[in-house]
Amino acid sequence: MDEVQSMDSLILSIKNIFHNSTDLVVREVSWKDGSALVCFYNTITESGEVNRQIEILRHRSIADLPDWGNTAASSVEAFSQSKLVENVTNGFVAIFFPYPNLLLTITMPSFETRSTQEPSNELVIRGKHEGFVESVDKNISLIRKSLGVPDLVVQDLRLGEDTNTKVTYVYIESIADPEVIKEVETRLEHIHASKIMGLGQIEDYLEDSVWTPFPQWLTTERPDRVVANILEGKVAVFMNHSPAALVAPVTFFSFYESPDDFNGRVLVGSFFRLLRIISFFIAVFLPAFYIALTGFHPEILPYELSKKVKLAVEFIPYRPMVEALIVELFIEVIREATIRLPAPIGPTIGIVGGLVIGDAIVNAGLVSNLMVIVVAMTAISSFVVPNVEMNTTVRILRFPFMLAASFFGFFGIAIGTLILFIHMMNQSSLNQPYLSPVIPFDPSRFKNVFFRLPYFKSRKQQQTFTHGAPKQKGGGKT
Amino acid sequence: MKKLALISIACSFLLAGCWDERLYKEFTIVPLVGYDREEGELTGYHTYTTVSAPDMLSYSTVVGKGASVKEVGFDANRKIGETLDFSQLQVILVSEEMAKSNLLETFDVLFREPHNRLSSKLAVVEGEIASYMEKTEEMGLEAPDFYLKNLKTAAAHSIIPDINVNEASTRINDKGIDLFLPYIKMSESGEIPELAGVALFSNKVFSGHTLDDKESLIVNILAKQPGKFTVFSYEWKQGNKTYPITVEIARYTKKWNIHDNQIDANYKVKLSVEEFAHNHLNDEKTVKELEQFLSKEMTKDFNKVIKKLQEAKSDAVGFGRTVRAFHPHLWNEGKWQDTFAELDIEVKVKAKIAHSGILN
Repeated sequence: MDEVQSMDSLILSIKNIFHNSTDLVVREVSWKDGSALVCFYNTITESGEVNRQIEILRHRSIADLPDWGNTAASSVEAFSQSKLVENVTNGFVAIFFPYPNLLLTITMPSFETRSTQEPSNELVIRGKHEGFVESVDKNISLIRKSLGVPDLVVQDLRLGEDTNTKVTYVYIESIADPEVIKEVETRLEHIHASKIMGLGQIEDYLEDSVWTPFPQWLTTERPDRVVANILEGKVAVFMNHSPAALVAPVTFFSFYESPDDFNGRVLVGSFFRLLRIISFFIAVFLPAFYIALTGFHPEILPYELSKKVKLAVEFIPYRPMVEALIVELFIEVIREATIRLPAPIGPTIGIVGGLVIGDAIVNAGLVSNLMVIVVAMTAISSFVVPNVEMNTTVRILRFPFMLAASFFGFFGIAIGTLILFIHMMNQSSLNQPYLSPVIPFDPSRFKNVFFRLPYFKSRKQQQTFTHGAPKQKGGGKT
Repeated sequence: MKKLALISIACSFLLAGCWDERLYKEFTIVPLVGYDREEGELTGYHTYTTVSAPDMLSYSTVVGKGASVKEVGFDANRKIGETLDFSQLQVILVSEEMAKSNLLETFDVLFREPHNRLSSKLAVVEGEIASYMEKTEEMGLEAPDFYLKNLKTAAAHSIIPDINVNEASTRINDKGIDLFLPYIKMSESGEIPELAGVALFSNKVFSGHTLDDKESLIVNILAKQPGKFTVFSYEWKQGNKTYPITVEIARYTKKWNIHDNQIDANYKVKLSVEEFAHNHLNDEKTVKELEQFLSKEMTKDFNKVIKKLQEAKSDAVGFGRTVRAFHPHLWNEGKWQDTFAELDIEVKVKAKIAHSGILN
């Protein structure tokens, strides 16, 4: 900046940098040795608080304290235009002293955030009832609240040329695998996008394989879940203005764990975890099994049941596959609609859709009542997974199985299962095997997958993965 | 190599396909069949389900004729315009005439087709089979359910052997043991079929001899294949009064001593008393007397049954299996059924009262 420039033209040129936004405040304030320019957005900074901070700084400068500009909330550095822009856009207050050519920054953004509430899609009965909010600082504070250790490392970086989004990753230095951290860093640094809009976009970049239905990063809005996971050596990735965290490396079984397991009693926790894993199989295989049964292998039915099935299917005009698709479509439509419906009428439509039409569709003879039971049971089972991503995955997975069952019967289901498991075995999350304690088999952690074991029994530091060589391309030992 | 694997996987899909599809609504369940044979021609009675209205399952019977079981089925199919599905077959009734030929050869199709059920029950009926197939008012249940429930209950009470098609086939093929099947008769009023005992087979075919229900109970005990409840009743005379005593066999052991031309079969039976109005089972003397009485009566009854088996040349107990295994010279004397009929078999039962109920 030229000294010749008057304050007025300086104000104009700064306003020009921000394209004359009306919410930008650029004011001249008098200081001990002359004037200074205060520059901030009044929409994301409290003006009254700015005044108070400036008053404190002014007193300090009059008292002639050494380093009067450096306080807990402010810092002084050499002026540069890019610094000015960065600070102001992030909601800081920039005070520019033209004569020493210094830039004083007061950190005091006041973005609107909601208070921490329990995330509505990850409810628990026992345990913490708080959730992340749309501010990365608050989210980190929620984690620091539970983890008072110096080992907890928080690193951030800015992504997206247009959006300039802050992405933060958190891990515990002494537990996390350095290779995993390195991998996350590399992948984050290689994101070259002009806009970073949401966490799902970052997840795409971070995933090992985008085309699989299985999520490789655990998305959660619960601080206790993130804390438990990073204590097992995982890394959590936050994005500013997003109320969720991505956790990796995870296994398939991580998606079936809920904080409820660990807060409840040992037997109860184990029972419900087993129940969830069983529900995975019900959700994927039950409709396919029923289709194969009524289309190919009725002989395996017990005699008493065979009479009931016979009664149910006798007057249905469609083959079992079409019948199943009608009910599946119907349930998916109700589910999709109830998400968008306003809260007061949501349950009403659910009842009308589910009960009234469900009953009418059976009475009209379009589908059999057994098929309604099968599909309803499947839909409920798919919602047992304590994670939204895995829930959608499970719901998608059953369609290829239904198709296979309607073409080839049990043979089709067997082939489909084979392909599914081969696919799952080939998946990895941050280069770690996806089915980890089962394949590759690790007896010491195997039982932890299916049972919630008592706390005092585990003596070893829990780590999600035993270290091994990174996955070779084209399959092979992991 | 990879390409080859892919192609072979793709081709494996062609091994099965929609042409294997059997839509359940296009079939009709056949839970009960009855077969009769007259002059080489097979007549089959099939009880099949019809769904006349939603929630209404009823049964009808269709008759088919032909040379084989399969042909009989096709003949019946043609008459009702629906495909009969034998995969839910629960009970197969065969006439005495039919049982006199090798059943295994007749029912070859049951083993040859993968859909067919080998756990169906087999029974021999007396006289015309047609009358057994229709539901009578006294039955209360539909005919298939009636037979199924009766056969199951009777097997639980050890009156008949719990034999299905699969076990019958092993017995028919085994030279050391003979088949015996439930024997069903029309009641005297001609209204309701009754379980009359068992039909004894001799060397793969029906011998023409039958045992009544008490005797068949004893065969089941001799063969050590009792059902859940095995109950005997005798009348015990004390002075000039008689008391009925009902005992249930709790546990028992058998020991066969086989010599040349003689078999000593010893059975040690532990009984629990179910009914005994005379009471005083705490008195050792009474118990001793009772045990002696029961041993005598049972030995008598058991020997009687053995005589009948020998008359029918039917080794339903399965002495032949032990003889074949440990006494080859006896086994090799000739056809086992003939040898068995001539053998001197003596059964000894030693009864012991182990439980006397909660009264004492």
